Amino acid sequence: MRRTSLLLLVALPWLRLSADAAWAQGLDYGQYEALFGEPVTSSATGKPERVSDTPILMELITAEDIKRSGARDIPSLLGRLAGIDVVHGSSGMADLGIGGYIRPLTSRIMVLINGRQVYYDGFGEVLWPTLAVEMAEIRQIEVIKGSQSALYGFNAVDGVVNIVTFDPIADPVNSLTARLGNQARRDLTASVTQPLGGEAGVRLTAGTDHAQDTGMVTKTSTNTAYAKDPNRRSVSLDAAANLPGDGRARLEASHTDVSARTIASNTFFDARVVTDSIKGSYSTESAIGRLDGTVYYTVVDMPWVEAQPVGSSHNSDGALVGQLSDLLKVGTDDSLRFGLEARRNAMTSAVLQGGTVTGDLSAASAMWDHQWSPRFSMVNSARYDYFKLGRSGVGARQDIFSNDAFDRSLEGVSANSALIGKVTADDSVRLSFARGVKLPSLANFGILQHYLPQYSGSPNGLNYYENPDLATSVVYDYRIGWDHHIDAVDATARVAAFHDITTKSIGTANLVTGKRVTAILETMVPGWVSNGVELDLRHKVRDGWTWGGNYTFDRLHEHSDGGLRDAFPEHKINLNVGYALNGWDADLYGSYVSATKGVVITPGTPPTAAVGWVKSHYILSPHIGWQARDNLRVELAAENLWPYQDSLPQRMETSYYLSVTVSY
Amino acid sequence: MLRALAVGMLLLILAILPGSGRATTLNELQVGIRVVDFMSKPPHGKSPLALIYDPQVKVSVDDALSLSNWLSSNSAASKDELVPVLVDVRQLDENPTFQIGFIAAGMERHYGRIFDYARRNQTLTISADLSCVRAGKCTVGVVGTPRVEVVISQQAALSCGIEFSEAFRMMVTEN
Repeated sequence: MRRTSLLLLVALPWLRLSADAAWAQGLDYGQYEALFGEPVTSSATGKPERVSDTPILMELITAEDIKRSGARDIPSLLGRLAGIDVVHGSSGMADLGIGGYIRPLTSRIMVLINGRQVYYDGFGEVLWPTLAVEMAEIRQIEVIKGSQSALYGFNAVDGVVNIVTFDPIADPVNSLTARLGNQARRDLTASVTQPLGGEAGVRLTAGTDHAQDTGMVTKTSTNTAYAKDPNRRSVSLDAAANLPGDGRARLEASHTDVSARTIASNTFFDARVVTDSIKGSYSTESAIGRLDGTVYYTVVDMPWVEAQPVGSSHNSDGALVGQLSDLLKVGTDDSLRFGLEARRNAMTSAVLQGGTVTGDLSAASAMWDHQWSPRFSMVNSARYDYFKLGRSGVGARQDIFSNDAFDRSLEGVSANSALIGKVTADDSVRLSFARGVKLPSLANFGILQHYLPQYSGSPNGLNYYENPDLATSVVYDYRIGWDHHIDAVDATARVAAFHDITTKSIGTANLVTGKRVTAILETMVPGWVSNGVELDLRHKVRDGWTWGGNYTFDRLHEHSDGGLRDAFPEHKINLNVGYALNGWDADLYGSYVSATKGVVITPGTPPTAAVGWVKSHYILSPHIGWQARDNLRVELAAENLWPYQDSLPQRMETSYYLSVTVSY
Repeated sequence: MLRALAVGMLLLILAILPGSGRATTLNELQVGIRVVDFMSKPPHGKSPLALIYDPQVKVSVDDALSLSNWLSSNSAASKDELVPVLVDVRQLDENPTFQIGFIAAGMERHYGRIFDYARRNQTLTISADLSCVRAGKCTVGVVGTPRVEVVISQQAALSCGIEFSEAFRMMVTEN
């Protein structure tokens, strides 16, 4: 069993290797990191570059950071960065926001695993537990703040999170982690990497998480059905091969099955989400530069979704994506990248009574990077997106739209421009401008049309309509940042500021106002402006003291009022201190988040909602780890020593757990 | 008198210039060796790595011996395929063709000769003296501290028929 799996060998008959491939190239993160002594990325501009060279303000979480964090999940890790906000819908479900806007189930950030979008297309949402990636297999998490539509297309309007896993050829991961804790926590993850002939490898990872559902603030007989225990099962395969002629092929496949509870504005949801994905990619050096081709298909199936106002439904969403790019260096100072993308997304829903809403997207993009001097460089990129909407099948009850109403298209142009100046050996200044385009989700366009009798005092009931006539909204993002290395304490300091403008937003029919109307139709309403300042200071070492902290001030001003106007915590502080020596490491993470507004849900039939205050809160999470042997690590950690609420319906309880990791 | 002053100034400038006569560090050797991984046509199997030095220049001899010791003791974490060979710069042409050459410190006066050899034999030449690469006499220049820098002379690379992967070229300085 150990390191040998006939199944894996059978699954990869296409890996026919040659000794000539011994030095084949590929963007091997580990190889470049070893060369330069710092992480590299291709997320920021689409061009491979050292993190210290990129003109884009970005943050990076390394595998060592993850190990020292004690965090069980990615949202907990990301929430410790400056400018990132987390709101929990349940103990296992979180929504993340970058740059001053966050609402439940309204994601504006693009999340990728090795470049594959794991964003749930149909609902325009990131369901974090459905990501088929375990902490042990993550090489680094790259976080880019601000709009990146020119590189990633519609919807990457507030930022991008790219999760890069270890290379199955160069960086074998062979470990098993078992975790036990209060609230009946039982987690188990295991990875095994099988080298294949020296120039190929395959990693198989499986994980299962279980805990009791905790923290539902207003649990009564009318909503207890939505308090099922969260469960997660995941299995993934990652195979790569260096091929003759500088080629590199990679195959990734994954399956997750997640059951979880969450909230959206004024209602409780409980859903099972089954996600399957397969991705193939190939890259090679050619006379016209580095060519990359990627195809992936993702199916997100919700066998059941229980929601208070809608009842039971079954949704299924499939997205097929093809991408081609050519990256080349011209002369000594210029790099160019040209890209094409095609995407087909189709979503069906029992709510729509058999209808299918589709979106076909075509896009072309270009990037130009110019090195003015060793100290100054800039990058400019632009992308054109064309989106064709469609609907087939039967519409909703009392549907006011015909399928013809969905026969329309939208288009948008995104742009990014950024500049870095290394003004001294210890100082870098970055400036950036972005124009991003946000596309309504298929659900926004028309999947959730429904008749909600329980919300109405009249015999006609209440009809809740999405709207195929929704438009795109444009996001403008301006950022400036200054990084300074403080030699005296070997620390890096960053001061950054941003100004974001979102021209329009989708008026959410969130029922917060409690109005009794006969129909709610989503429309485009004026957007918002957010401004912020981020301060960050950190000192990181493997042994000895490590410390850091950041402060974020964000202010949101919404031009329209959906009931939660300007609801956003303005102040956020994260601090950490740790010490490592002789195989022991201990770290303490603390956060403060100021008060904001939120939705109070009062269970009932129907539930009612009102606006209330989410108090300021503190989070304290310590952990201690011991590398008992070369292949054995034991960790004791706690999350939230003080229970807190970042949303009104959910309280995050204190959890303790013991983890044992065996490497083999 | 003026000529003596000018020569004196020149020697002073040469002594001050970064890399001039300065011993190669272990980090620079490691960086230089790793650059080989990013060649489009790297050597296959076990290949000799020429450590080019001048036996008449003590700095050069000491540097070459340090490089050889690091490589032999595997401190440089080099690929097993690269086998260090000390090569007297004056006997370069008498040796078999080397695909990779690391130039020891204190070799400024021989850069022209080494470049001629590299051009004839399509040899990748690496030096920790950036003046060599800036003059277009070496293909790769490396700096270890305070920040790793890799500088490629496109002119030298072209002359020697050396190509690197596109991604690598985007992460280094070319001139």
